[in-house]
Amino acid sequence: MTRSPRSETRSPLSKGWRRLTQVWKPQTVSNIDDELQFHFEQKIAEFQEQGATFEAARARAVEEFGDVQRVKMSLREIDERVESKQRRAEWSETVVQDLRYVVRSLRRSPAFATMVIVTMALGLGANAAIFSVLDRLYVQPPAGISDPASIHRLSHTAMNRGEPYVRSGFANVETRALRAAAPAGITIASYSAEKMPLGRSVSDQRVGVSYVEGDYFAVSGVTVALGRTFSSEESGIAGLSPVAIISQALWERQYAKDPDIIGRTIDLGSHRHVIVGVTRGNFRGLDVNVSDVFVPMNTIGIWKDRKADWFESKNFNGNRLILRATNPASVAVFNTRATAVLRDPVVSLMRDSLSTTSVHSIIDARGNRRYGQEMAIGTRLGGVALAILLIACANVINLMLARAAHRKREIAVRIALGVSRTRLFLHLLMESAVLALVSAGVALLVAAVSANTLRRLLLPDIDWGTGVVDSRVVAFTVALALLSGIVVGLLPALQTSNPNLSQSLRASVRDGGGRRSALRSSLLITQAALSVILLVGAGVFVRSLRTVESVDTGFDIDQLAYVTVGFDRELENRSADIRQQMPQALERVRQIPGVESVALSGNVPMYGFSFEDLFLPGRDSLPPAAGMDRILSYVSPEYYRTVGMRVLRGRAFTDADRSGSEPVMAMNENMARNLWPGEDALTKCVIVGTRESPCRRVVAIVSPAHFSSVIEAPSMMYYLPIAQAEPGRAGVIVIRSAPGQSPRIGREATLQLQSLFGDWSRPRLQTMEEVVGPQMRPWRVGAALFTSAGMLALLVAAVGVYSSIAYTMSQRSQEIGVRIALGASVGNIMRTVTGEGVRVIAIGIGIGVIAALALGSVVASLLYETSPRDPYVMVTSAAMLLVVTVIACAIPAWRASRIDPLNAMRAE
Amino acid sequence: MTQPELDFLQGTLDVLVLRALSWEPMHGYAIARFIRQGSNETFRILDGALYTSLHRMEEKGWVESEWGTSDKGKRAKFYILTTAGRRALANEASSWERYVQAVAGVMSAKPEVAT
Repeated sequence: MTRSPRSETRSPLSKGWRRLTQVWKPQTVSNIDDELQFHFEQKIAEFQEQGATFEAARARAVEEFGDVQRVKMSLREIDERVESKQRRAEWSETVVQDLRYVVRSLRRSPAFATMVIVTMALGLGANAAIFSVLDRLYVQPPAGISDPASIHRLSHTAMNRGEPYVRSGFANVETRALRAAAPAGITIASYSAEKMPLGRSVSDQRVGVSYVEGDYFAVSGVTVALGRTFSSEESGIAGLSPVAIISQALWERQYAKDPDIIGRTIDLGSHRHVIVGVTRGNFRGLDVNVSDVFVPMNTIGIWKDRKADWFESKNFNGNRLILRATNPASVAVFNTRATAVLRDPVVSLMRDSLSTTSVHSIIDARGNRRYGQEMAIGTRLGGVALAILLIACANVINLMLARAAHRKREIAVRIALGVSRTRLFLHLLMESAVLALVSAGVALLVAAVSANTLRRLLLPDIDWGTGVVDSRVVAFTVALALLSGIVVGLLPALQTSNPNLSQSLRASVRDGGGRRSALRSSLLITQAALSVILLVGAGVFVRSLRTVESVDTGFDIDQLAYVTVGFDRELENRSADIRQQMPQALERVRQIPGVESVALSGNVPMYGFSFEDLFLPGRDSLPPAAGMDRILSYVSPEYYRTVGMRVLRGRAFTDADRSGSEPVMAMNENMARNLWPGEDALTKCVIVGTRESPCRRVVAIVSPAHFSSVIEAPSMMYYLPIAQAEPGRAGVIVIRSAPGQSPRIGREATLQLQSLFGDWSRPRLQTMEEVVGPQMRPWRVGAALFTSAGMLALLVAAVGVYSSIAYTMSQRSQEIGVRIALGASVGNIMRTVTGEGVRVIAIGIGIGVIAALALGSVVASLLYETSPRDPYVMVTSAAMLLVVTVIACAIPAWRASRIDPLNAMRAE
Repeated sequence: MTQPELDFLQGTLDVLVLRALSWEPMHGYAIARFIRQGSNETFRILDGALYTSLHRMEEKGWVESEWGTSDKGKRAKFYILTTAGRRALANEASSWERYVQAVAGVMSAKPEVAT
């Protein structure tokens, strides 16, 4: 009988035996040889027993076997495959075992694990959120387009008022000339996009609409899932084609994937389009702000109430130009020709014979200056997020070092039990990797919330169309987490798995030294330095915001609301009615409780504006205006009082200044000084419009007001009584109420006006906060984001200091015990401990301040009249961190000073 | 000496080996002997093919191998049937039985009168 080998299965001995043989020669070869040798021995013995000679027996055994060498080779192939499979299985078994061990050991110290995960998740989450936003803006091409590298946008840079002006909007005349000049292989299309009401009623639901011209879909590389794209006639600019193509997203959301959608109609406000196609895939226009409806650009002719040849007008010049190139060489050729075309004053909007065009990526943010400041803030935030992650990592390294020291006995036991140092090292590294991965998971939750907030803060008027966490964000976060996990785990793991170091650690504790290691000190210094930099950043942004907010625009921004009556064509048809009913309308609004004053204005201040030609009697030309235009506003007598301006000299307009009475005007000091330097403007008159118009007497010098921006050079503004304006100008109703009441009062006024004028009038409300808000936003956003980053850094740094000191205290309990026994007071000990902490942090603060001074230029362009090296901010930031440090040191120090000296001395 | 051998299909050899191992763990030589005796010396399988079959089935996970000691006290490689091997044997055996019956049916059939 053969002895069953089962008893040996997986016994350590057999494994050990296997390992032993492995040392001498490749295991597979030796095993096959052994196996076959046994076979032949048996076989030969069998034949010899039957009476054969050894030679004959051997020959017969070989004959019955077949080609020995060939069989051996094929056996080796098979066995090698089996071997490698086994090794993989064993390896993954080890990994699983180690993972289990790691998870168990982490679960035994939940406080440590939680601390690490929270810190890392905040650091990683900040990075994931910023990545999510920047990736969408800068890296990812619009969804659903094919071969994005071949699609480009065109922009034009020309000098305007002495400064380079970049535009990406073109007039149809320009598009046509550019198309005519394009070399073979370049296809051109143009589009503009806006939000329109979806449906006929005045509903809140708005939809992104792209007005497209030329081979828009061909250039984008987008096909239709249903129906067709626009015909060449529909794509042209001269026709009138009320058709529409909708995105698959809208088809699914709004029409429940209706298969019979083609031929149905879609209403955009009062305009009805026939749906002729549904785009394929996730295409939603070419902008970050998504479009779900595509209509021929020529349909603008319907609702903008244009003249028959409106599309020839250079005033209609907001079309983005896109082109698809079949080969890269033709792009350069096109750009050269485009520059030539747009230098031609007959074609070009800009009269600049040295202007240049440039062709850039379809990814808008790379070539668009429109969101320049928000973008700049976004990229700076990337740096801030990295700094936060570094602080978090430093913090976690500190925590891990502390934990490693606590675990030195456990580690020693494991080494004694024969766990190899490599395995131990990998173990510790795995521990930080596991922590990093869990942190990554939490970080994605943090990112999902904060990236949405970031989007809303940075670019609130944009409908991004997609969620913030996509596969790219997940990949980025996990990769960053693993990287930080390894970086964070490396030092503590090396230190712990290295026996000499752990011995020295043990020794230093036993002799009561327990000094903070140089490594831990430098980590604290790094944290402090980075925190100071972020705090200084927050400080200068807040200061800059304060400065911007304190700018006097000339208007009481928080008290004003504007209501505009009439819309499109109706405005034209009914302007006489509106003008006739306006006094009654103003009276109604004035009656609303809370309204302080009501006036009429030709335009919404700081939003719309007008120009007219000006002449001075007896003079050929006006004095040069230093690159500035003279801006005209039509106002009613109550205007100045209502918006918060003052009449400095002369008289306000009155009701007597009306059509037919003496033509009068008012202007600001700036304009008066420009027209008549050193003379009294109140004795002068100006001709407005044409030379034949009567000369208008200047009756008032009024306080300065801003023309369009919160931050702008002083402008020249003049005012005419609205009653003396051309008929047809209905005006904007300006309502003044108590601060903060504008939205409520404005809504009330809107209802009153609608009931007075009728439903067609659709009164539209805008508060001045809404007008100016977008301008303030970059400043506010910068301040808000940098402040939260600074606070986060401060918090993380405080936790770092606290945990580091608390750990040191636990190590030094014996020394402190001795001191107390020798008569040291609580105050004594607290002073010593806190002093040590503060000394380390002070070094960090010093380095941080120097770094902040050096880095100032990075944010200088984002600040308004604030130095990035503001001494007040520097001092405040340093002081804040110091105070936090003292508190973070004092708590563990106080706890340490209350230990029982006897217990402490006995413990070691 | 050499007699005409039946040409063996790989699958058939596998079944026979599995069947041998279903009794007890064996080394290659014992399996060869088992098959020879079980077939009343009808089957002469090349021993090389047998070892190839064993190693292949080890790769498939049908058998496992362990080094043990033969009854003569020599180091030998023993093969053990795994659960997967047992299942494979059950499958193969039943299809083999159907095959044998079918062959027997054909061999004993007489032609019907054509219509």
